[in-house]
Amino acid sequence: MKLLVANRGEIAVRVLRAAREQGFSTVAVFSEADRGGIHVGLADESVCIGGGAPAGSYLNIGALLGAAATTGATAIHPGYGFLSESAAFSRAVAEAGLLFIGPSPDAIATMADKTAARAAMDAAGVPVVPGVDSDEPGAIAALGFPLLVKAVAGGGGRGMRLVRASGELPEAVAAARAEALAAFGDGRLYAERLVEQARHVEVQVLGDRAGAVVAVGARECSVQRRGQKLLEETPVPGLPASTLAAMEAAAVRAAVAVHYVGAGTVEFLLAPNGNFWFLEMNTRIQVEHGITELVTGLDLVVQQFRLAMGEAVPAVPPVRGHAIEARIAAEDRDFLPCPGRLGHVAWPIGPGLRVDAGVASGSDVPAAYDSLLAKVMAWAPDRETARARLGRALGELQMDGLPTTAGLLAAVLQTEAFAAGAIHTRWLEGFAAGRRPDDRALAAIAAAWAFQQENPPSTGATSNDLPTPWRTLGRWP
Amino acid sequence: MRVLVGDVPAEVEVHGGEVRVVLAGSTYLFRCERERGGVLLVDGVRAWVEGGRVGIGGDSAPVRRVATGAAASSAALTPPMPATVLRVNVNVGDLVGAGQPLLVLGAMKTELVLRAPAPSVVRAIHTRAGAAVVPGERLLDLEPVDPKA
Repeated sequence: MKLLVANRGEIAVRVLRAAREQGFSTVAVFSEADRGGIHVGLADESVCIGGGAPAGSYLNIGALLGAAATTGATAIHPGYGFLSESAAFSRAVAEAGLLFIGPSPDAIATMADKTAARAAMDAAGVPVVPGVDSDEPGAIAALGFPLLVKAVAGGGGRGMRLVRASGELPEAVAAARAEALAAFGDGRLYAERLVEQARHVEVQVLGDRAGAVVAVGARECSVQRRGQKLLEETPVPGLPASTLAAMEAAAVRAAVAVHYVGAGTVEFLLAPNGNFWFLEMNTRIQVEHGITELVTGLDLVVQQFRLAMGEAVPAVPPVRGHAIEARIAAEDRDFLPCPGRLGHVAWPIGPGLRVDAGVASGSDVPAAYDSLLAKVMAWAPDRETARARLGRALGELQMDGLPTTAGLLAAVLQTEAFAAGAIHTRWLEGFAAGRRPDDRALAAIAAAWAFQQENPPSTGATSNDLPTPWRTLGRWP
Repeated sequence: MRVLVGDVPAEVEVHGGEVRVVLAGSTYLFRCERERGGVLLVDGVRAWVEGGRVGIGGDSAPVRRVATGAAASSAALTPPMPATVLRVNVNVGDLVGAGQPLLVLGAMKTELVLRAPAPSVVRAIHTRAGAAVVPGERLLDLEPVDPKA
């Protein structure tokens, strides 16, 4: 098999590594903004597919199929984001005679249309959050407040607005529609009741062509900002075995209902009383798949390859120990994204750690793409040890030149709320808002800046101008 | 020198490796030095400075120095992050209320609305939709107005 990875950053690196381990030939694609991307150096061949703007490159189906034709690729892995949940892409890949490493166009289309997904899940006996399929403020308001306005074509928290009172509704609908149109090219909206104090729990599933579906445990993903996850863990702390079993059964029903083939994730809202509702199904590999791999020993990307090639679902191994992931994103204290260039980068190492990264020392972090730089994962026999281990790892992590979420996430790990496993999806924004730097920390920042002005680095160059082997050699044999 | 840490002003004096900072009425003294290899240490904790950003011990914040003597009567609006201007919602001469959306910026798949800090008149617009902008760049000039006038 010759695999083209239609993505960039850490997930392209992850998939290319798995493909190399399987002995596949590999093709990377890159935009003009990603010429120095480390995924490019990990593939046997690479093709520039267009300019920095995603529409001209990573979202450009014609350019991707052209790159596959030029290189003789026989299969395409879409990663996550970009075209990974595009039924049109899945169909175009199949029509070009190539193997798409993902589900069928029909399964993608049903789950990508959030209102169609809600109807399909309801019919399959999977509980769904009360909602209304409309963007008329009058119809939405009938649901009662607070509520969420969401993009029908949405995902990843984009095109979503929390509305607490009817007065906020018109502006929220307009903003959500504009964001959905910009992000997905589809401005349709729907609304759901907000489940207060809810946790975000998701079930990993694998399905094969014969129709068999297995659940591979659940992940807790409640540490979020803007509806996007920053810390994930598995198993789910405090989840009774009976609730986990019920969620897994519902997830399997959801996947069976759309004849799901490949790796997917069924997301649920879990209320404090143990009730849960279907939120959405992600018809692709998840950012946080690695923690499931750490506790099961399965390689979910390799499972994607095998299921796409027609193999049967694997036996589900027993869960061993506990794993937590911290997403290292280029963001400041207010979660504002900060593109730029990284200086010196040093990853934490030692027992029980895994780092999946899309950057290295000196990497450019373009404004055109997501702010996720890397994922630091810790495994240990128990949750407390995993928590301590991840905190230790984040303390060792060095990423100069750009603000990252590492310091905030290290602080989250130390909180009583996280230690108790009692975090809901709106918790982090309140915690971060209350965690302003104290005056002494601000003074130290002022001191560092002023000292640097008076004592510039003696080389005359900042650390990010130092050549690195990645930048000068690429991958060496 | 006068330094702004985010929005917080500080007076800083550098005397060799001794750095004295007066912030919010308190005085702080730091020992700043460079390790071999150029790594900056503040009271022994590793720090980095890249352009207008500073990180200390894994935490980080934006810093910028105040332009001295520029006690301007109008406020210039500048982006907090490198971004693309997605929309400009106002025109020159518009009267805007506190909190009114002026501009929408986008970066890394995130939208950010820049709002009027106070009731103001839009005096000048220095950007347009599609422009790439960076912190420190003037996007538009606002002149505060007395809402009771």
